[in-house]
Amino acid sequence: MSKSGLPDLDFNLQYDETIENALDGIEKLLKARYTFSKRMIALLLLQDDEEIIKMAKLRESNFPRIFAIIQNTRSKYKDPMRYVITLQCHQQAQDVLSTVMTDRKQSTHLQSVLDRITIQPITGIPILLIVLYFGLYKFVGEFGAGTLVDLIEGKLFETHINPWVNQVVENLIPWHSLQTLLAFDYGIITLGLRYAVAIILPIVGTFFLAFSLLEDSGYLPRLALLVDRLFKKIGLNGRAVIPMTLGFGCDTMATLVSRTLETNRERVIATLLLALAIPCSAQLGVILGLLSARPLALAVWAGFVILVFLLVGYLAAQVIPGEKPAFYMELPPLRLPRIANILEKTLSRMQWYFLEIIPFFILASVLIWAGKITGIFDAFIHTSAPLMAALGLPPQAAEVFLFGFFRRDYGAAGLYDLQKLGALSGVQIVVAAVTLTLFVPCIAQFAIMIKERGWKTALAIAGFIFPFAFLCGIVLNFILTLLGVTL
Amino acid sequence: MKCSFCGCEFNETTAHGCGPCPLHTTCGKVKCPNCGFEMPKENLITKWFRRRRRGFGKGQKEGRGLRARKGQHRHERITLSQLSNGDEAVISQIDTSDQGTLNKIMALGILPGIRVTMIQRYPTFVFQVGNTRVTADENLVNKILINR
Repeated sequence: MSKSGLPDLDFNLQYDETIENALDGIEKLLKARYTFSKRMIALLLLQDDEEIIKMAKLRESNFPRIFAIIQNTRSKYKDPMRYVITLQCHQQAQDVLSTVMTDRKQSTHLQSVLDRITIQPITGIPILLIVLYFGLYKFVGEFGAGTLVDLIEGKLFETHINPWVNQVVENLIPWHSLQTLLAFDYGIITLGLRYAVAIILPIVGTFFLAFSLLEDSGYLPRLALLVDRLFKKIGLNGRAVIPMTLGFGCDTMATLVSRTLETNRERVIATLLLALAIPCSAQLGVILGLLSARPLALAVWAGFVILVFLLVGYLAAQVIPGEKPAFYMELPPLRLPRIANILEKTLSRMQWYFLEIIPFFILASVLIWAGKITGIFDAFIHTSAPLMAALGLPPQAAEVFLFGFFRRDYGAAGLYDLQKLGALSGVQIVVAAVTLTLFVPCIAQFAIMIKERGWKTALAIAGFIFPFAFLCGIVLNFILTLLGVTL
Repeated sequence: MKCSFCGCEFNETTAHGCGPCPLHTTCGKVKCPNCGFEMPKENLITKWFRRRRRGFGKGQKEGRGLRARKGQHRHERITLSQLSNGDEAVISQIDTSDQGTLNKIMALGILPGIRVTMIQRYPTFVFQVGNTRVTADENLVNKILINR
């Protein structure tokens, strides 16, 4: 700093003599043009920056001589150059800072208490559960997936938009097959768009709102540090708590978010677990509604799914090769979020998500339409009767699983109808609910899996989940029947 | 602890057994990083005795913060993971053996000469470095060497 308080433009960061000599030498040998200064390029080359080395190799005819200087300098230090240079840089920064800055402790009492109780396991875990219960279950699950969906889907679409679309399509288009492509039970407008606007939008909207609040308050890193130890056991690190909790909102979105994980191994494990054992809010809502009348059945379902989650995670961590996960995060202080920021973030995320997801819903309704028209669905339901028998379920249940692929909650809703007819016993409902939870992700999630992880991984995951979900259902059915449990 | 075969002193928290074995953290054994000899972990009773013998008992307040001795064995590495809750130290060095971890540590602004205060050790380490608070796992914390 100069005396006037303005930045000193002549300030020059000097490294030790060996490094300065090497920098001079490299700078003189650099002939090509770069977007930033030659000294910067030389510094990056000395620090083994992969990209710059690759670039220099292509552009510089003198590269062998440059490389000789780098090697020579490197041999003079026992630590990596990046460390040496960072240290010297840091030292000079400290020197400058010490002349202009003094430290002063400032943290209010309430803040430090909150800080402490959110990271200690004894108080932190109950707080975590309360946050998840109110933030996720009450707000997203009950308000978003319940109240808002009922309002938009039940009141707006079912009673106003859908009948109107059906009528218009019937009057304008003479061909029956084309009519059913656009309207009626499985049409692009009446099914695809309705799902996207009436079900996904309110759920995702409330979820993003709750998530932005958590994010801006600085709570998420605390959540991550509390679960890190458990997540390490399943081959993930604490950071993965973000896609995993997102999965309870929508697995498709969570699969997209898993790209924030550091290593490929973690991404694959997260994708697998999301596809297998994390029910999305739509599915969770219907399953909770289905089982809430039988608390014991609900406990069996939750216990079994959690067991499968941990077991598969543990096995995947042993089998999938690659680097062990590392956990490190800065822990920001807890802050009161700003409303304007939260609203802006929520809106832009909703827009991004909506645009990303709409093509898949249209695709799903086209596929359902094709399946219905060609009779493939009926054939499928017919042939899967023995499988249903192995699960101890009536043959109609096959339709539930088939539609479960197109939309997870749609399958669960079908189960709801079957239960209302009184066609299922307690054990049957639990077995069906477990199998449906574990069973293949919905088509949108599968498409995102292909997009994010590639064909091979996505197919391998689906190829594992498909038989595994039914195997789990069969095993559970066997155990429950053997023990003679009535739920 | 000290290897009973070759006598090498090492940090037992970093010396788990054989990487790919599913039991490697739970088999109750440690593997000497020098000679590869496997031995059972030091149990609480012998650890207590050893610490008492070396003068860590009553009335030695200044020694309480560190779980390892200072002075007698100058070459023994004291890592951040050995700092007790609420205790302060100065970072002396970063272990540069693993480039990837080193880059992560430097990216967090953890460098020699900075004061650290341990805030919490379980379930995950939380510590104050300069003006930032950092949470990190054992592997990373073990690479940070400190001076009292």
